[in-house]
Amino acid sequence: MFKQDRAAAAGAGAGAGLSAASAGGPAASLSREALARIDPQLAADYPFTLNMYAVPPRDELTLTQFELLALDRLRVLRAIETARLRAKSDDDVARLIEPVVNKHLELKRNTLVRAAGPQVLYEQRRKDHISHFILRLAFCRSDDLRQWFVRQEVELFKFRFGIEQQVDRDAFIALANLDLAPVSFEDMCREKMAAAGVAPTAPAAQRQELLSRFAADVRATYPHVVQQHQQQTGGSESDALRRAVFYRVPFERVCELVGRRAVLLMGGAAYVPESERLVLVANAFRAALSDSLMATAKALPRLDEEDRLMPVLDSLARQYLDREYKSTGPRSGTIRHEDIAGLSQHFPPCMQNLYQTLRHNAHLKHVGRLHLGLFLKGIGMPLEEALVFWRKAFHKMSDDEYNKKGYVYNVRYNYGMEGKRTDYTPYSCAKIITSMQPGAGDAHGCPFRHFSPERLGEMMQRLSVSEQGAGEILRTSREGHYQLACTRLFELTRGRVHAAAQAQQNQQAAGQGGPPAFQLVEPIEHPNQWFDLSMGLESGEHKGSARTPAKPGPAANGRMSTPGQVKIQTQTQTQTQTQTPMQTQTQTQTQMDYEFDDVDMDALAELEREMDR
Amino acid sequence: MLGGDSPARVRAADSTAESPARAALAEAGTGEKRAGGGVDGGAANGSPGPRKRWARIDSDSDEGDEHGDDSGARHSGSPAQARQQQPAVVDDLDETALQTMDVDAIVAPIIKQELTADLALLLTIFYKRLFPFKEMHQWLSYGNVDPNYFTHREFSFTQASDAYIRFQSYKTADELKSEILRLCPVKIDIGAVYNVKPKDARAVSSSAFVPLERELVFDVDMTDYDEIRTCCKGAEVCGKCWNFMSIAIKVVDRAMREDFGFKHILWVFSGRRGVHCWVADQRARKLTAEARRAIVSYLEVVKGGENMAKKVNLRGAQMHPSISSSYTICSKYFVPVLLEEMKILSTQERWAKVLQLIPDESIRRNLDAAWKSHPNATDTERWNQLKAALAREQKPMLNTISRDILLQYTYPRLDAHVSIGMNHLLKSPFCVHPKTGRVCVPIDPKACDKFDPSAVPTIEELVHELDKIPAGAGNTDGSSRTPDYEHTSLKPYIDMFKRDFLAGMGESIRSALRAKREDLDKELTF
Ligand code: SF4
Ligand SMILES: [Zn+2]
Repeated sequence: MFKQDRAAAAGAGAGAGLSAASAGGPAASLSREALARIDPQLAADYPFTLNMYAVPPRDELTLTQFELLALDRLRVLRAIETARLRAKSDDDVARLIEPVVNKHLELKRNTLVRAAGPQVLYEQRRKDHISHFILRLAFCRSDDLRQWFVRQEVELFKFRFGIEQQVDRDAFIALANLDLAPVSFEDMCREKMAAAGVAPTAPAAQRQELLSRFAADVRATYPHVVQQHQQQTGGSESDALRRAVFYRVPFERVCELVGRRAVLLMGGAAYVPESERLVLVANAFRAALSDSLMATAKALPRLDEEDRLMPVLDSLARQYLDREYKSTGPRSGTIRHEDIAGLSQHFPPCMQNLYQTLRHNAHLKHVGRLHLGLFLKGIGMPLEEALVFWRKAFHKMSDDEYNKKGYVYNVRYNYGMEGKRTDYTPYSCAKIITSMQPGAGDAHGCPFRHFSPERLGEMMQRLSVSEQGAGEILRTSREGHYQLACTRLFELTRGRVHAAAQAQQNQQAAGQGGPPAFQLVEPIEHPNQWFDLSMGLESGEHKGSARTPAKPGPAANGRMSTPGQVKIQTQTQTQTQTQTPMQTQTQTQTQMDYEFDDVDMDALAELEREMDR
Repeated sequence: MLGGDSPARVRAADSTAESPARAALAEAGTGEKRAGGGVDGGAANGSPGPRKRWARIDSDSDEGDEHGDDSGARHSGSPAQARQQQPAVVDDLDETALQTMDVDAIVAPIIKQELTADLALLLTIFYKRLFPFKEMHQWLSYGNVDPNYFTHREFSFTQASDAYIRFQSYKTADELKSEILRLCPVKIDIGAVYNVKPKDARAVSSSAFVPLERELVFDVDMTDYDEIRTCCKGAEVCGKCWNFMSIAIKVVDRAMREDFGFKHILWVFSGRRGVHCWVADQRARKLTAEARRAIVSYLEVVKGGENMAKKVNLRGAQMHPSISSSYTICSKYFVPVLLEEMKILSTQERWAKVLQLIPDESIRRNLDAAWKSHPNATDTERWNQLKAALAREQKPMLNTISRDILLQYTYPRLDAHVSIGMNHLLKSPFCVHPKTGRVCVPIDPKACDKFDPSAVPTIEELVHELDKIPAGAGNTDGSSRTPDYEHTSLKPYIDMFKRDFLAGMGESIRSALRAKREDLDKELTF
């Protein structure tokens, strides 16, 4: 039933696509009719590399297959997340994730159907389809998980949209039923006149004035649109404007563009230029996926008793969750309030700044307290000490005032003793950089993101970073690679702290003929990671911090989800989450699977693909 | 613990509002006030007498009391959290008192309760006879199209003892009124409309209790302008710096109406040093957090905290049409207010702040030297020199600097957190600011330049006016045909609320209903 619908729709879509793409499609493009002639099944089930995932697969899978597929996709999503952290532009992201996608979730385009064989294309797309739905099951069960999953999936979708051929993009959009009504510049002018209350019968001069101002507004909003049209066909700016196509949509549908002021808004409508069409498609994808995840979450409890799936799903999701920082280090619970002054040299720039502001003003605003408080909790300061630390830090305030403002409550809250009673974990760099932007009077934030270049320069001078190093860090942070800038600062400042670390690193590097500088392999992802790495250098655990990619060191335990660590995480979870004997059993089962995974997942996946053929 | 049965919370109310001698006290209270010199002028000049009482009562919250800075944890909490909150306040006091053995901490709450009696008295009269419950209920019911809209709305209260009560909800205006009379809060906050009655929230798990809708709100607070205003600091405001609020109102109001197409916009004085905005169109109430964030970032031009000197960094010479409209508004104020009144270029200390925004060492040095050698030049002359110096350079990067400086010194500074979080609270219109005693009255955006915060009636003045109502014209229980507020200086504000805001809302709701009915009719006839 469904297949028929889909095939019919695909046919219709192809027609629409052809006309739209006639302008500049690549010579090698392949229409849907042609595809259908080669393999009707493929054209019916998976006509594009793009998929809205509107229909669940109905395949039967073994548990092992199930996991293998899921893990492959998870690798891709994880790579996307990392790429987003490191790269600023979409192109950078694409460059970083392309090899990973090709390795674990390759989708050949329709043009390659003859060269690769239709069954390969079908298999690839089926794997993509199934693995998406498996992860839906695993990631539907909490807000955090859903958000994370949706964000990465949308990113993957955009990447694929970017590399899909023009015909198929157009056909896909036609099929996706996005309800896009194109409007021309003239239409917009009419709407502007209506909004401004200028009747079409108004004096010509009045209309003229309004419209020429409006044309200037449109040009200012979409400079590249006008440029692009001019380049393609020459002619004046107003000619170019007349040829441009916009989609008129409620502004709520293109929040991203509204937030960037990349669209013109008039009476609640946003005018999206054709070049930003991807935003509309990606948003439709996001909205549909978010809705289905909620629906899946509601349906999932029925699955609960049924089979062994639950523990598998649990451990899949946990790969994401456990990257939160947990203070399990040797110092846990032993840090006293009077130690902080001495330890502060090991704080990352963001925390050092908060700590110094606190020392200087004897006060810190709410979000700053939250960030520093949880960071200190993360380095191992127990609640009793934290209460003393904060009371002393606010020494200019009377006890009465201190109590009434709820500071004690705040500290206890951080430790899960108040409110939701959640054992809050310290904020990661990503959170500090992207959420809770500092406003007037706020000292929190990531210096690489939230300091002016002058302030950042001053900070580096105080840390006696060389001029060259400072220049490099400034450039890196200006380009938006805040955590890389931070990593570099760590390398430049903390790298000097421990001569032995450097010497050893130099030795290693010399052995491999690499550069002699101290270099971290993992970028800084968490303020507490900086602290641990820095402390590690001090006490000689440097092997863990300046390490080769494969072996995570002691300083980073329980946070990064390199495959080698999955086992550790699963173990701790088994201890803490034991609920029923049965579950424990299956949990151990899962753990075994992951050990398996550690051995050679890629080879296995390869094997599986072989067998499937 | 949260409900009306909480022993901890009722205590404060008992000693004041619930006292059997309340009526008598009310009499005595107004009498005492007349003796105390009665009505006085502005809050800023804090004359001794009755005013002092306000200052003492709320002396703890010098920082962000309208802002939620120090109550951040409270402002975005779940009901489960709030359940803990009430006992927490009490626990913490005891705990720390024990830890430090500080007599002050133990005695202070007792002293405070005595002071509170007076405030509670005035508030009781205010809530009983002046607060427009009927109109507020009319607003928040939105034509009763959705019968849950009022009943599922969160109210929360701050009492004089600083006890903080979240997640309250009421069936009717009368129920709200009697509860407010009982609690006598110094502050009423309005939150979101939830899927479950907030009062029943503790019966469901915290994940099953979610905010569905709320007005789009904005909060502009004068403290965010401290780094640029030269006339006042902190809680103070004067006619000069109030201009910042006028700019904010004009800029945001225009964008809301023209760009986003909203119609039902209420501007309210926050009682001391800021303004609040409620956008109440149905479409605005249904916005997701993501859309709210997008709107905030669409409006946001001044960015960065303490550690970022240059806070306006618009890309390129061309401005988005919305920003250029705002720029036109801002430019009108820059010369008369910033240069002529506030004189931001008159001393070296002040102009250094402006010059540091120019990313060119030699221009900075030249201007600094020129201005030092001509101490009598006016600020406007200096500004023109600055603009000329930047325009002379052939670098496009520098040509936009004077524009950015102008915006940094005038463009509205919004508190993003308040607008984005659906479950954030915002002080209700017609509340009384506990420190100034002024009522949070609506502001007409079209006449915002004429608004004078120091002319806003205070609760003391209003209660005094009530006393002067001739016998027979009013009724102390508020049941007279003409409501009591009609005889006070609150009248024009409540009238404006009804005329400019409620009437328009009503019209929109009615026409939406008509359209819906017509649709139905069509379906039926076919
Ligand atoms: S990158 Fe992370 S650790 Fe470094 S300063 Fe920024 S937030 Fe702190
Ligand atoms: Zn002032």
